[in-house]
Amino acid sequence: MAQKPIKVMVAKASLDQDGKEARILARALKDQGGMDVIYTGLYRSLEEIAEQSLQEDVNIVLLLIHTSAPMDIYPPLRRELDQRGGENIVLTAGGHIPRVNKEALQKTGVVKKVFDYGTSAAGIIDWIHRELKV
Amino acid sequence: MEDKTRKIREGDIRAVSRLIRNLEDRIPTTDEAIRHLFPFTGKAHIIGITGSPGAGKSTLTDELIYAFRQMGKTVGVMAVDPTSPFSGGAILGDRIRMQRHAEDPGVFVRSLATRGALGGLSKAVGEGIHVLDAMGKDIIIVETVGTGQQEVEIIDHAHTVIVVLVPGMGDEIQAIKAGILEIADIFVINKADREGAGKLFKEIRGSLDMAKNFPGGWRPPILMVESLFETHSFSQSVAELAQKTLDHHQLLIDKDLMGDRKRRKATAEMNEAIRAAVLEPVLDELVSSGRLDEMIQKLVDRASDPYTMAAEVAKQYLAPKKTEEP
Repeated sequence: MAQKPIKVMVAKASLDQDGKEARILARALKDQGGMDVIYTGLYRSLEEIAEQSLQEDVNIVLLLIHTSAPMDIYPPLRRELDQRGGENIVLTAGGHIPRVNKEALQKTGVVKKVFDYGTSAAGIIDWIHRELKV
Repeated sequence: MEDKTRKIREGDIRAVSRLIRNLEDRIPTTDEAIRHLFPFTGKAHIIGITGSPGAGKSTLTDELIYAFRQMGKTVGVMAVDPTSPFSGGAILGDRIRMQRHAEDPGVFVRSLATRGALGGLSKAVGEGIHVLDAMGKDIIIVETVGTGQQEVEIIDHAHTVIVVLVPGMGDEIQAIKAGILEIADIFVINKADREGAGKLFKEIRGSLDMAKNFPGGWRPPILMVESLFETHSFSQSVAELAQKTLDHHQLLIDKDLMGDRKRRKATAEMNEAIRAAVLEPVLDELVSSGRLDEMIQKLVDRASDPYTMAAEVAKQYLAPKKTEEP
């Protein structure tokens, strides 16, 4: 029938408290991007995020982080996803990611794309559309 | 296909969620998958929860999951959220209130977007219920915003319907207007610590008093649930609600009324399957060929009327009935 909407999970993990940008982004992905968006809310464990993204069969998980400790979050989340059979779920990162971590995350393939601080919602939507070729 | 059916019956999350996604996106091959699962369905107790936005349905559902898990039952949830008619996107936010079950393997929560326009949501939900049923969930909760025809259709899939109302939202009148009284098996007055709860209670009671008879002698109970922040009393009220839904289910079985519910569900499913097989291909073709747009433009310009144009479509697609020779 109509074209298939992209399904995105906007996630916040552990003790990271800053949820405002996640809610704004969720709204933008829905209203500007026409996507189905699941926002996890704050303080989720990585296991919860992985399990929910599988139950919801999302295309992309975008985890935003403001704790400056991305290496404690993204690699284990990637493992959780893979272990549960979610190898094809695209993991992306945003928020505050130190430059040195950004390279490590993208080079090792843990994260498909790190959206730099200041990336516009339109830029993220564009990237997602290109990545999923719609 | 056997392999997929087996995986779903074993509760493989990936297989289940992918199939539900395909149902939601109306991928044609899903009919085949559901056909294979169908023999393994019909065991679960299906509960529908409906009420206006902000009535507290998701929070109630979350606590209901907890209550049923305490009883040792496994639970599947389908939460339906409206898709924006402007962008086609949706924020599927119900499960944010059901977080604490995220790691419980006895609970499967899934959000569905309504996808608007041409209907068929109810079909996706009905089939999604079959999937969770085949997966072996004892209780399946379908949560939906109680406005519009589609949502009323969804509720036809449930054995037990819980209608959630809140005081002070004009629900007193809305409830009666919406014909919601007829579909409710249990009423919940949520946020009953608010002003107007007593008035709402009396309104519903008054309406129930006017009903002539109740099938099987089940007069829909009205439960008051208050103050989410008083954790203990909140849990107790919802545990009572859980028990009432089981009582209702038992009554349906004891009084041999399950047949009626199954009939209602079967009627809905049949309608949906026919609509999908007959109407949707026609609409698809009209949309993709641009003919629907042309017809709409004609109507806007007042160059024709809907009945003439619909009759033309019918003439084209429906085989003429054989008329008997006199």
